[in-house]
Order: sequence, then C-alpha cells, then structure tokens
Amino acid sequence: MTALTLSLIALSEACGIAGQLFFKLAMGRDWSHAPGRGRLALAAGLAVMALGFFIWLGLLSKFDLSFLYPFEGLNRLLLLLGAAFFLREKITANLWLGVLLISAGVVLVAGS
Amino acid sequence: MSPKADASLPARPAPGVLANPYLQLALSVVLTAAAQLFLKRGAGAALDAGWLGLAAVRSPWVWCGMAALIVSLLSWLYALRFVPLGFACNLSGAIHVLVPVGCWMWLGEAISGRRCLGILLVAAGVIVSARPASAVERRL
Repeated sequence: MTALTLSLIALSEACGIAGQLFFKLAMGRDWSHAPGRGRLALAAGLAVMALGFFIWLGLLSKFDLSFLYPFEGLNRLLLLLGAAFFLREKITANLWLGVLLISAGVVLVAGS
Repeated sequence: MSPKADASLPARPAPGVLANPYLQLALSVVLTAAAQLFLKRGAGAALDAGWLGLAAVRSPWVWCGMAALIVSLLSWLYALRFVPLGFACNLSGAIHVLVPVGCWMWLGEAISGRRCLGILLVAAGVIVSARPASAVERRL
C-alpha cells in the first residue's frame, strides 16, 4: 500500500463524513428564513460526496472491496463523533454500542 | 412560519406508507448495497481505469450503480429530515451485511467463517442501534 493509496482512501472517507454532516445540516433544520443557506449546505454535501464517490470508484477498480472495507469501519465511528460534535446530536448508549459492534464486524469481514 | 427546528428533535412526517422515514431509510440502505455490487461489477470490468475511475463509465453496470445511488440518496435525504444522523448511519451499517451476502450470491466471492462472524457482529450492531433507548442508558 503506497502513500498515494492511503491518502486517497483518507480523502474519500473524509469526503463521506463531511457530506453526511452537510446533508443533515441541510435537511434537519427549517431554512425558510434563509433558503439560500439551506441550498448551499445541500450543494456542499453533494459536491464533497461526488468527489468522494469518484475517488472510491477509482479505488474499487484497483483493489478488492475486502481490502477497502476496514476503512469503512473506522469511518462509521468518526461519523458518529462528528454528529455528536458538530451537530450536537445526543448519541445514546445503544448507538455507541451499535457502532462498536458494526465497526468490529466490518474489520472482521475485511480481514478474512 | 414554524420555529427553527432543533436537529435533535425529529419533525413530523406526512401520513402515508411512502412518507414513512424508516421505510425510506431501509430503501436507501438496500439500494446503496445494490449499487456497490453494480459498481464492483462495472469497475472490475474496466481494465484501464485511471485513478479517478473515469474509464469505468463505459460499463452499463456503473450506470445502474449510479442510478441506484441517486435514488438511494433521495430516500436518505428524506429520512434525514426526520431521524438523527447518528441513528440513520448506524442503521445503514446493514449495508455491510447486504454487500458481502450479495458478493457471495452474485459475484461468486467466498464467505469464510471469520467473515460470517463479522457479518453477524454487524447485524447485532444494527439491531442494538435500532432498539429504542433503554432504561440502562446513561444520562449524561
């Protein structure tokens, strides 16, 4: 695995997390007082998601899905942290336990 | 004009089955998993794909994958209006059950014992996440 590969994986994952945070920001609030800002949040989410998508597609053409999987597991944990930190969502104990099980499972799936 | 909605408080969806945010969430998860299988099929067939994977757009499988992703995105955005992002993302972990099972059934990839265990762990995580906050939940 080269530094380029690792950078592309990290960039793709970061795009995914940022995109989801923008999506929730755009959809979860009433933007009727400032519709332009709501649309801007949605556009920003779509833009970073699209970038992450094409990087992911390139990685898929070079590597097995099983190699790329463990990074998905890490991504889920980071996304929950992002939702708690940036969106001030209350993450219940069930969700923390759930994400740990999911991440552990994803790593096991990938490593076999 | 309604007051500014708190992101932690779900809004009220319109009546009707299709307006159910949990159904749309499930639809989004299934379509995303299907899209991964389509994309793997398409990207794997494109031998000379560059780093951005642009050469893969010649494959019809990639177009199927993109179509599934677009519909799943619309369902996902609709669901996000009503459910917290953390909850939705944990439920979307079901993708990691659907994709390997789909790879096994459709792409002919093997599922080892260890991989089975991983899939079961993910399934357990999704089920735990889907349960409503229990009494043992710590109040912070």
